[in-house]
Amino acid sequence: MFDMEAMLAAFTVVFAWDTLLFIFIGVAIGVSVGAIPGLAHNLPMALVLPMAFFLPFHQTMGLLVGTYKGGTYGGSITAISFGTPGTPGSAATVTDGYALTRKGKGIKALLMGLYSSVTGDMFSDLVLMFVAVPIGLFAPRFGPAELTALYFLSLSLVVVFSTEDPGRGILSAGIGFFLASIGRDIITGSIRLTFGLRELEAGIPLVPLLMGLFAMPEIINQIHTVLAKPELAGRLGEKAKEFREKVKEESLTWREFIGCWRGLAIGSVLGTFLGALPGPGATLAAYTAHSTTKRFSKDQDYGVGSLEGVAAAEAGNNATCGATFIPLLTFGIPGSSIAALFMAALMMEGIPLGPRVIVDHTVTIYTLFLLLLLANPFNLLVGKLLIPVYSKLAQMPATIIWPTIAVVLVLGTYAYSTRPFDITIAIAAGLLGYFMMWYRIPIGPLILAYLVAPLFEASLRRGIILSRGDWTYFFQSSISMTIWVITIAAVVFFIRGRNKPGPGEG
Amino acid sequence: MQKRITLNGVIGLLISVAGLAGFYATYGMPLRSNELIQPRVAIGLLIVGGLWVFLTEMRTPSREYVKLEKDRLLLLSVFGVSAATYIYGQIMLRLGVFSSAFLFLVVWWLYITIRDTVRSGQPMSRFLVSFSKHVLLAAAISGGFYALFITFLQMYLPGILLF
Repeated sequence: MFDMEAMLAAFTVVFAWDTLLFIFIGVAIGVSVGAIPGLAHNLPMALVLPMAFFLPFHQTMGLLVGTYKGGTYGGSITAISFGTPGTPGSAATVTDGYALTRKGKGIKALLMGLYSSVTGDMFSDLVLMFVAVPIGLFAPRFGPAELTALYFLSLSLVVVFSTEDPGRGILSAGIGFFLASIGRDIITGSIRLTFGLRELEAGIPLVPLLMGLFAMPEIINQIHTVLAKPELAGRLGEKAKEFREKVKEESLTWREFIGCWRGLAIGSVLGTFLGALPGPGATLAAYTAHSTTKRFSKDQDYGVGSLEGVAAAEAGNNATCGATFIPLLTFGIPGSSIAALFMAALMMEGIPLGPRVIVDHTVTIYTLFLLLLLANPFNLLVGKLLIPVYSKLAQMPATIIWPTIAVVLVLGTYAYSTRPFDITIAIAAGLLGYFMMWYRIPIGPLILAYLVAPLFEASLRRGIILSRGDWTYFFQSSISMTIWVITIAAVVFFIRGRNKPGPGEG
Repeated sequence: MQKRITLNGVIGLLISVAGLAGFYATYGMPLRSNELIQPRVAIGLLIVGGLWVFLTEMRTPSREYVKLEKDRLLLLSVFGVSAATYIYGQIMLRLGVFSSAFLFLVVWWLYITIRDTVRSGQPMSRFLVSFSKHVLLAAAISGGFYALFITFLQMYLPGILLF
């Protein structure tokens, strides 16, 4: 039940200069670190965490919430400017965002990324505030059978929607599943597919994989252009060839922003839903939103430079921010590593998380809600300040910028967990990424399959154990049946859509 | 019906054949059948995907060819960039962030400056000015990386030869 008195008390705490300052510092750190490829925002958050011992609750949480939100958005800046995602969650933004930058529409793409991030984030925060309890009650009804069906749906959607060529989509998903199989078995701990390499026993980490898949092929392409066409390669002090003719880049118009309402809506809703479930996370949400919007978008350039694609991916990515708190605040279940960091901070402040936290610590929870809401305008402000800087950097000639990005690739990959072998993984992933680019295999299904595979396998095998090998268990509940029907309907809808003659095909 | 075999389709078929060999190999692995569900699903997807590409390519001759780029310089770029990145990574672990980044950037820009000077027929004095600017930029960038990764983020590096 809504408690007005508690809300007023929270309001007084949050709208104080010190809180606002800490949110601003947090957002600035988050955006800056999030924009560095390889450095996810959980690193600065972990550095900030010990401050919970000596700072008051509102200041600590202001700093953490700001860092989280800024970091989630910040990843899209380098994804759009250099085709290198700053954070795993912004990987889905690369396809359309970087294509827009190559077309000389980098500022539009960066602004769309910022506005859609804030929109998705705001939507998610409002959902958290108003329906945290009902959603929290619904989430535990997802057992192994329902989760298996849900993960299968996610995977099917991406395979069928992300490519015009289903064969290549299936190949990509197969590679993702294979990479996710490497390492220790999640239930028995047996070692699988490591080919005798001890370093692979822990599996293939996500950050080096993403860095290699996205950054390396682009570095190779750009260096190839520099070597093959030296006359086109710019010199120090010149602009990159794509920007030489262009006098001034146009900004994003209100009409263009509103025109992407499908992407914004689908991204916000799917991001919030997937963010509320323990496991999927921002990367899965962004890819699912991006590929689902493709089906409904009327933009001919979707997937090759569409503002709506940026809107869907970024709204989906950031809409997980508020939703992450739903299982945390209602059941004390941290659904992601970020949620676990928040859980630790709250516990260090003496707040035990669980079903009674909203009743027993109403002012604290309302303070957190207001901090989450208030971080959004700060995200907008800091993002706006940084966009001109990054759009200028993107205009630097390939001879300067791409060797520098190669250095960041190595440093960021190593800094992530200080394992030298991660650099080798990133380079191997880069070669794989280049082969996929050359053979026109989309990367989206690979990433999604890689992320979904452990979740899918865990729920599938738990289901098999619970049902003692009875496969009908996966189709017994009404929720799982609904999801299976949606999956089949989506695939049939897609196949029928593909078989219909397109415009001009008679 | 006219059928065709293309490089595109042959690669799809090769992936399928490799997948079949991999699938067969899973029967020799010291793992339980439950532990092999996911690897077999993965390999199964590779087999189906590869065959799908091959059959689509063969059965629809009217379909536009997927042109695969075949360029020797491209191959050189692929392996050159990979090797350079690996070497840079190894140097970083031994010489530290600043020295390795500085060396990596200076060597690359030295090559670029020499190439541009030779191509445009500029005098040696122009080369020296241009290269000096690049050296300063490399020092600034390397210093920035050192400040960020070592001073601010306190990234761990094993014992290095320099500081």
